[in-house]
Amino acid sequence: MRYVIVGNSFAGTFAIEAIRSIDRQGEIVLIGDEPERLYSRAMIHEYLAGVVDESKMFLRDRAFHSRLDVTALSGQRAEKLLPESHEIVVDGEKMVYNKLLLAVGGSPFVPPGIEGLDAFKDCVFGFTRMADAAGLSRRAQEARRVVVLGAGLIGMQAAEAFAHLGKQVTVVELANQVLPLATDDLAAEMLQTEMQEEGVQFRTGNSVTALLGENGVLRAVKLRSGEEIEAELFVIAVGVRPNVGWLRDSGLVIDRGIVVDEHLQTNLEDVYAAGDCAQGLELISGSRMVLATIPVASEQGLTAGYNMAGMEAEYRGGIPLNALQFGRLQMVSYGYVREKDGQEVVSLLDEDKRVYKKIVLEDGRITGTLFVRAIDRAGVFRRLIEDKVDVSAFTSKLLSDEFGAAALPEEIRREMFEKPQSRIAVRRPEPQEA
Amino acid sequence: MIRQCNTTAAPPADRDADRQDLGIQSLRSDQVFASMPQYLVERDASRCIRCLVCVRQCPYEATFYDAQTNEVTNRHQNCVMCRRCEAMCPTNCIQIRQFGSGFRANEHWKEKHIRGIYKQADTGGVLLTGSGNDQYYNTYFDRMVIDASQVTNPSIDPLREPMELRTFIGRKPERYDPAKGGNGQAKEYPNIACDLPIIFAPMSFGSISYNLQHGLAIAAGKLGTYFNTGEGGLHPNFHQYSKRAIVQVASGRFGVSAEYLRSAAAAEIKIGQGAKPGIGGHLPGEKVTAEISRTRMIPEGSDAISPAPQHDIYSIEDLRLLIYAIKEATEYTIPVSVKIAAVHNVAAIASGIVRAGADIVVVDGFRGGTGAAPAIIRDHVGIPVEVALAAVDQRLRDEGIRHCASIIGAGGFRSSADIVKAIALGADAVYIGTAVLLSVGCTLCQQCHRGKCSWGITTNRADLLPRLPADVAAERVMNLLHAWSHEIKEMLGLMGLNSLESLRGNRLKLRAVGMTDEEARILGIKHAGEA
Amino acid sequence: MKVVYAITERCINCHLCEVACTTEHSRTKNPVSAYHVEGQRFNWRESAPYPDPAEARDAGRPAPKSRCRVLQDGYRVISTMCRHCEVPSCVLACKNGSLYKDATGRVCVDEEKCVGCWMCIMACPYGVITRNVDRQNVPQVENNGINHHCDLCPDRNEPACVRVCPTRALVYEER
Repeated sequence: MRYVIVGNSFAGTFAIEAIRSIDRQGEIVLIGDEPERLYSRAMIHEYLAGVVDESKMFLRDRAFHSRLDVTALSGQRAEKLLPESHEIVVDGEKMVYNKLLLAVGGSPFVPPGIEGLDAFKDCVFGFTRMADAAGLSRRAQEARRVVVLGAGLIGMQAAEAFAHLGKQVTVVELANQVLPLATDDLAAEMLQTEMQEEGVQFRTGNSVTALLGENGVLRAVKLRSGEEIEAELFVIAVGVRPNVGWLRDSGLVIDRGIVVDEHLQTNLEDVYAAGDCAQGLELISGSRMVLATIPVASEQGLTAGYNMAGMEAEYRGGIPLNALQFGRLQMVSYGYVREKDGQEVVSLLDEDKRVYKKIVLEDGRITGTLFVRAIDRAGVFRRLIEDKVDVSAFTSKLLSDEFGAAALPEEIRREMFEKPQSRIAVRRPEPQEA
Repeated sequence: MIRQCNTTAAPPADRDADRQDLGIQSLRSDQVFASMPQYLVERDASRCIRCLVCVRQCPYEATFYDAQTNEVTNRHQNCVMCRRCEAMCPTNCIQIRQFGSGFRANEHWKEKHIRGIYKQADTGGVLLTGSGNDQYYNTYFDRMVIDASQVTNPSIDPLREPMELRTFIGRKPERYDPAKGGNGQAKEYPNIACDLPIIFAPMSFGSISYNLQHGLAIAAGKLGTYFNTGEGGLHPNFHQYSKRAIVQVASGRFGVSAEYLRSAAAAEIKIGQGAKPGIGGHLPGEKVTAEISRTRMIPEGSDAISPAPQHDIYSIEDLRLLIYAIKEATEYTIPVSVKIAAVHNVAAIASGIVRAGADIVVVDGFRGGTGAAPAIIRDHVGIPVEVALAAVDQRLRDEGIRHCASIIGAGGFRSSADIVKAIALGADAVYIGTAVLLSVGCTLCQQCHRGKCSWGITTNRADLLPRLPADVAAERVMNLLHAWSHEIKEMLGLMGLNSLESLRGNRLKLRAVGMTDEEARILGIKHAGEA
Repeated sequence: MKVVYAITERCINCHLCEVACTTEHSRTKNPVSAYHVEGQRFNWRESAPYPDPAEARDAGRPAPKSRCRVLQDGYRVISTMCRHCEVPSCVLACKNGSLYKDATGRVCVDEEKCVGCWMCIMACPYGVITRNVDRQNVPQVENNGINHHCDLCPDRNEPACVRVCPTRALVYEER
């Protein structure tokens, strides 16, 4: 039995652990196109800012792959999938798989219409890889000013990292607010203010049209509004797209990402997908979406691994979720926090403590939650949303500081604290001994 | 602003609420006297860790927390010395003390008199209290000692010889006629078998908590003894324990139905109670929760006051009618008990009751506890159970009817020695009430009538009930009775006896120490030193 | 594996479980010094007792920290702590792999590695993770701290909260 896993990040790692918890003998081959040791993509901004040392970057210890008996091929790229022959082409060579997991993640989307991207390519970076951080770190020594395109999570993290390094940063965002997907107007304003106090400047409702400079050295960035901002570095952070270009003629059903069912299986036999490249069920809307977040990637990878190794495990679906801190402001959000017509909102804003809590409800069920500060026990809302709990009987208690398990309906509370718990129901067959 | 930080979000309506103004103490000029604290909650500031356990545990609103200054503060005049906070404090930093030195020394006007008058001048009401008579009167148990065997009548070793603690409660047959064969009895009467001479006293669901009554029901089953429903009826959830229940028929007739009677081990007509002879039972409205309302079949929150006499019993003949009505309803399968308070002519009353057909007479002395009674009655009415037992036992023997009924003594038995002495004075068995409460944590603070028992013993408030779980109660009570049984066996052995029957009414096993001749004569015992 | 289960009906809202937890996880294992003195030289009047150390720190008041938390809603009270899930949501959300399940099945945190990103707090559907702000692995981030949750008292045979509960509302067993 050979398990082939393409992609050495969260989904791939948990898949390996899941497989090995059931099957100690099957061969596992891991293919990753980055040369670095297994690291956490989410730590890049802190690495760039120099606030953490290497020891905090790595997702697992050095001996992880050898201990779990994984053949790790790093710096190699999967180029083609041949499902009829159960083969995958890696750097020109064919490799047979019995079970294949595509955990290839996403790549930064480069918006069209920016002049000069090629000409100044040494000064232009994405912000999703360790290599990006390393490259930026080198260039940042000479640079004084940076423009970041995109005020999503990655863009804001990059901006804050540069601010920590003492650079002048301007963030350009197409939408009228920062973090347009994760926040509402008020929270975005609070975040933007916080960042501005750290010295970051913003141009919302705007975009970049051209890069300006001489001899491949960036001097300034031109915005759609006509303004020119002086900068020596340009970071593109407008979102990631699943790395599925190379799979489009393989026969896989691909929408935005690779479509998967509740076992993380694709339409092709023995081919699974998980993580930022996969399009699985989103519980609130009931449709399939790419949810590029760590908890979703990890859970999908784990579940895929269980299924690949022969234990049936169900991934019941994910929801959008974010936890972040910028400046002094911590925030946690779930679901869809911008209310639509017909939805009810309960919220509170405590200006002294700078606490903002907002809950969006539809038909008595929570579809969105946003907490700025006061994030303790926020996870209970994850449960309320995912389980579609009817909260009409205790809506008034949701915003209280004391809201927690005690206020939940009895059956739910008993389930949580009187029975053994697991994110995924695990029914392992007897592990085969070596 | 002091923020109140008590146990629950919304405790039930409290009649004391009027006096609970926060902030400046309610110094209406006419209440200055009554607000003088009796107890001081002394806190060692260096050990207080602001865990707020004491704040949450105090139902009497004597302990508060001020978040701004981070101080735990007290309203000392609300403290009733229940000592719950002391017990729960993880660093033992609390001591409840007398506040100051009380009033100026006065052998005639005691603090109790003075405070009683203050309160009555405030309220114009009858002062209620809980627990048993706490006044100074002779306790005869403490003036009697038990005689032990030495050489001529050797002791029996309880570890090597079986000790019979089992007793049968009920009417015994008139004669034994060997010619009849079999048991040779002329007639059999229903008896209840009791594996030890200790039965749980009547404590109604309402006066005590649901969990405690449950615990007693469980313990009774496991120990081979019985519990008594008291006036409050038998909760439907406890019908499974009805075979260990003595069900009470009191003047309020709470919960009494034919089914109630037929399912029980014995029925008891309550004429009186040692804590409040001559008056009826009290359950203040604060203690009438939904559950109690259901069991007693009375409206929630209403005071449950039983009338003093049973209004269909105005003579011994009336009593006989009721006794036989119950016997008929239960088809003569269970013994019927009559409980009276120990009063001056208790012997004559007991005689009459036995002749009226009672199979058991319960004599409740003036130290008996109560969930609620007027303090003045609790402290001044009734006589000690020791003399009552002696008098009743002697009178029934003199009249040749001692076999017609078992005598159960009740009222303040504190130890196995008290029980052995009571049996020697004539009791077949004893009821214990206060001792049971002490075994589950009671500190005799005497606030039972307020329904806020901080130990979860004499309350049914939803937030206080969990403080005494039923299984913990059962375990502790069983521990106590195991310990006492063991001690009783030891005492029997040392007296050279191996069975309770040999002790019952056996005055020769007791000697008086420091009693007058009159007292010794009434008790029927010789003085120590007499052969 | 054994974890601590709570029986709601028995809880009397005394919070002794929190006191015991704080004491057990202190250096001296003595409640007075655990709350008063340890690592915290401060004017007692400035401290806050409620076991939410992060909020207390936000307000400039250091406070003792308990890994279990008693939550109350009217008469319903329950002490809540980590369930040590078979497949833990927090481990699946941890940004850099600091959370893991050890050989005994406990969910543990590598206290050197945790960077206080709070993905675990976001992910835990039981709401039983809090912030330990007394340890700051990334001091440049304001109010940084690390993951703080029940560790099943590894130095004891039976967790401290279970031992101290006066009504046996907490039990340590395998279900």
